[in-house]
Amino acid sequence: MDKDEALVRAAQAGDLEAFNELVLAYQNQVYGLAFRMLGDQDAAADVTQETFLSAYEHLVHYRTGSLRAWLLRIAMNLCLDQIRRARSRRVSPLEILLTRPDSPELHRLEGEETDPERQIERLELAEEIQRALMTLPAEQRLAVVLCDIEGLGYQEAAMAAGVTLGTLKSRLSRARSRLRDYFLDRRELLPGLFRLIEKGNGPNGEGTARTPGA
Amino acid sequence: MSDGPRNDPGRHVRPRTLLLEDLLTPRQRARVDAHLERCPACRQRAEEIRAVRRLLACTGPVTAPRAFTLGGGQCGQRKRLWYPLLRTVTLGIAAFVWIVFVASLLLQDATSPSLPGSSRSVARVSSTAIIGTIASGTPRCTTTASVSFENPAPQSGHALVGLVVRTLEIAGLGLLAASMALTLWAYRKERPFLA
Repeated sequence: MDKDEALVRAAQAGDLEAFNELVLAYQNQVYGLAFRMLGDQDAAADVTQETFLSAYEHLVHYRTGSLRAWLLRIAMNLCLDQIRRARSRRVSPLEILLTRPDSPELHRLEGEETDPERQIERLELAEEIQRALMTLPAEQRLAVVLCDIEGLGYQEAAMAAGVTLGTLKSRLSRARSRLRDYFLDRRELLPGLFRLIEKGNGPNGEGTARTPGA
Repeated sequence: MSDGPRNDPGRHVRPRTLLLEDLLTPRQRARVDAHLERCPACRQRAEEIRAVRRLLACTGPVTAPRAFTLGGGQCGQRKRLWYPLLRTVTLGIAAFVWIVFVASLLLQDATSPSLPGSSRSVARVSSTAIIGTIASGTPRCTTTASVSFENPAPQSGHALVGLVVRTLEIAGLGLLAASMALTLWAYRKERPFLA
């Protein structure tokens, strides 16, 4: 029995501490998915909290398999609910504010990047990527976030999205195609992105894309 | 997954193959790589898609702004779950509608044969009149002479019960539809991992 499974069994028996250990282990991924799907930090935080509360209440229904996929599926359904609600209330698309002082992107970059100029460049890049993601239909966005950003394997991503592997592949290919068109259209406007597309180099010069396990 | 070009150097790699390049088997990959070396158009397209994937990967994981651990009170303060209650209510209403429906059938049987439009009227057919009519060979008269309907003395008790049953049926069906809609809504809302 692995560590997660032992913690799940303990939490199912009512051990809140064990459940909180799981929360700490998976909160970044759940929050990351919610943030990428909604493009709003407050909404993402609400969805994350709701996900863990819901998971705690329904932990008795969890049997075996990937706990991460199970949690991400709860988060995904809550995100889709939010998106549907926003659409029915005709709320304008959420403003992407990665440069807010409490922005998770800014927080991460402060740790990784010391050069302020590079920090700004990468923030702009992150903002543009988020903007590109928000142009995708929710299902395609989910596929890209799970596979290309969160780095889940295809099987696990399909499980989290609640679709077959074939459907996931189809959504992923359509999403990548749309993103390619999006970034190509903006290469003149965004010198940083232009460079990336032209030379095929990451902002740190990394040469290979993350390849999730098939 | 088909990788498109096979051994035909004139054919380009299918766009979907390039979009899902990371799913190729080693053999497919070798074939695609060989084609990309010869075909600048496909190479350009492949490079663009790879760059997009690199862009996405370089955004990296996001760090949660705070810990989302649950406190004991937080779990206790959780709002009430309505799905189990609504499910029971819906089952109860369904059972009620079924009972009313069976009751209406039984009631109909008790007062049969009934005619459309006058459930309380009873048709009495005089068999001797029919036989007599046939024997006399005057078929034109059969309908008028052989069958006669009599309205028995008004049964106000039966009429009232019938009205009540009909009303209960309609009200029950309406309630069932409303409670099913509510239950479905609660199911989606409160059991997100199943939705």
